Amino acid sequence: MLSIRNLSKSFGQESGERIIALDNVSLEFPRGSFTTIIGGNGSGKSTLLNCIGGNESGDTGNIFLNGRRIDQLPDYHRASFMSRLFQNPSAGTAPDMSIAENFRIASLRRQTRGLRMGIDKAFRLKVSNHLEKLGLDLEKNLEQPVGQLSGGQRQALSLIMAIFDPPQILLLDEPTAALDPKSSNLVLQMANELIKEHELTCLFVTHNMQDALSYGDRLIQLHRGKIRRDLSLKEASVLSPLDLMTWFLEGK
Amino acid sequence: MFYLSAISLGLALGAMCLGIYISLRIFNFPDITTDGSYTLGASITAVGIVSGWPMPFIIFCVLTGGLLSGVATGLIHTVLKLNSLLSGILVMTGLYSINLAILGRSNIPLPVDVSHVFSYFTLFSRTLYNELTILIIIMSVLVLLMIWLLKTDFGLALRATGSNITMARVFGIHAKAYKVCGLALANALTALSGFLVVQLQGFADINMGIGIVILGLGAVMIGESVMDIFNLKSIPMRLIGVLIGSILFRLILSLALSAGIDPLWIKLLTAVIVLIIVGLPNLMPNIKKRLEPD
Repeated sequence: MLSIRNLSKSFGQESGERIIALDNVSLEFPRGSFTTIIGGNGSGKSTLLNCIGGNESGDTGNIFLNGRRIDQLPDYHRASFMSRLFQNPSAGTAPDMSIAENFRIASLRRQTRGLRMGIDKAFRLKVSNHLEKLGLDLEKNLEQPVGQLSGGQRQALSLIMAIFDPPQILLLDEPTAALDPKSSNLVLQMANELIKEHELTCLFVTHNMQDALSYGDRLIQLHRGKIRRDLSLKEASVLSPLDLMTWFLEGK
Repeated sequence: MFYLSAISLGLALGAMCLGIYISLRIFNFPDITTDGSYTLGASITAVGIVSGWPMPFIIFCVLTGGLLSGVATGLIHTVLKLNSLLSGILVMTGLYSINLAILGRSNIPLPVDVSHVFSYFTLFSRTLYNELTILIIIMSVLVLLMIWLLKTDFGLALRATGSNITMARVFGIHAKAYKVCGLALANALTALSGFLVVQLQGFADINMGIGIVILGLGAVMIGESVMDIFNLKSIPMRLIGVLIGSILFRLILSLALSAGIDPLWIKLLTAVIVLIIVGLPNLMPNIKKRLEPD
């Protein structure tokens, strides 16, 4: 269970005015839940994800995972239970390193990194087996530098790396915004399967209204740092992308 | 035989160039600390040899000195958040006093009869061949060690931090600590160059480090250009390329000197060569454009 309690965050502008990104937000995400979060620019969804991910910290409020407070942990400590996929397909992989080396980094998320040659035959085989599921033929050349791959390939790779050693929480921060529709579907369908398979607690931020309705078992709309709507799968199932579009207009 | 001594000096400076490869190419950090940590290694070596310290102890002190210089720059950069150039310049400036204090005066010549790294083994009667052989052995071991290190889990984390810091942190890598480690490693290598060069040229001088970082940057880039010609991009090939770059750079400078250029101009020549290497690729598109008809 991931619990957000009374989380607030505001930013000072150069003009002296304060922008409220999160306004006393409390949310509970049970284990294995797949929550889609939508909202306009400045609604606070990115700040929420950043606070959970640890690259921003709230002004007040706490975040707990299974009763343990995690909001004081630096982001790299949260790696032991959390994975994250970014909007930028380049953000999740190291371009100068090979596919095998990238996976080695991913496999060490909760281990000490000693003077050991970790990439052996068994490790390569494990990586190949994971990559075969993608159907992108990446398993054929594990020595290829990741920087040579396309954006879609890199994002798919980032996803497989993120759950290579399955975490408890998966944060998807507009992971398909920079991808073409085909790559986008591939990444989201794969994420959907992996979330179910590993019972991951997933938060999925998106601007694509169709994706918002197609994926997840709960739909949250944020507006000006507050939760405006919090719908179950059943409630969301009657909605169309057009309905969601009107939500964005009504707040203006 | 000027080219043989140029090759020796190129190899001795190769350790520093390998350090620059780590700071510049892995961490994208132009590390000016190099000027100071190189002289630090040289100063410790000169004083240690003159005072009759055992060689392993001298090497230990040289590596520790270099390591601490890198840690200082790394901490200033990561904790106090000063930019990379300023962090390096601060430590380099501070090291000048420290080096002067270690040396006690601006220049220490090594006594002729004293034993050092290049007189331990006599493989050839000619000193020049002997030095060259010992340097080739030392640098081969060093390159092999680095190839190994950069392939270990620790080395992968170092490279991931340099390649994509966001990704590194997401996978639990304490990026700042690894940056400090990388700079420590780079400056330990640089100090090792100081250690070798002192024994090669027979003296330590407080000003011997001036501009040495530029030499290192130039060597790394020359090495890359050479390896690019053969499309060799793997890390082992890149490291060997760095040594080739270092040797080529020394050869160019030696050629210039033997052609009668006053040693006074050698630093300017060094700077101009590096400027050409760095600047030419940026200038080329314009030249190409100008040659094309409108």
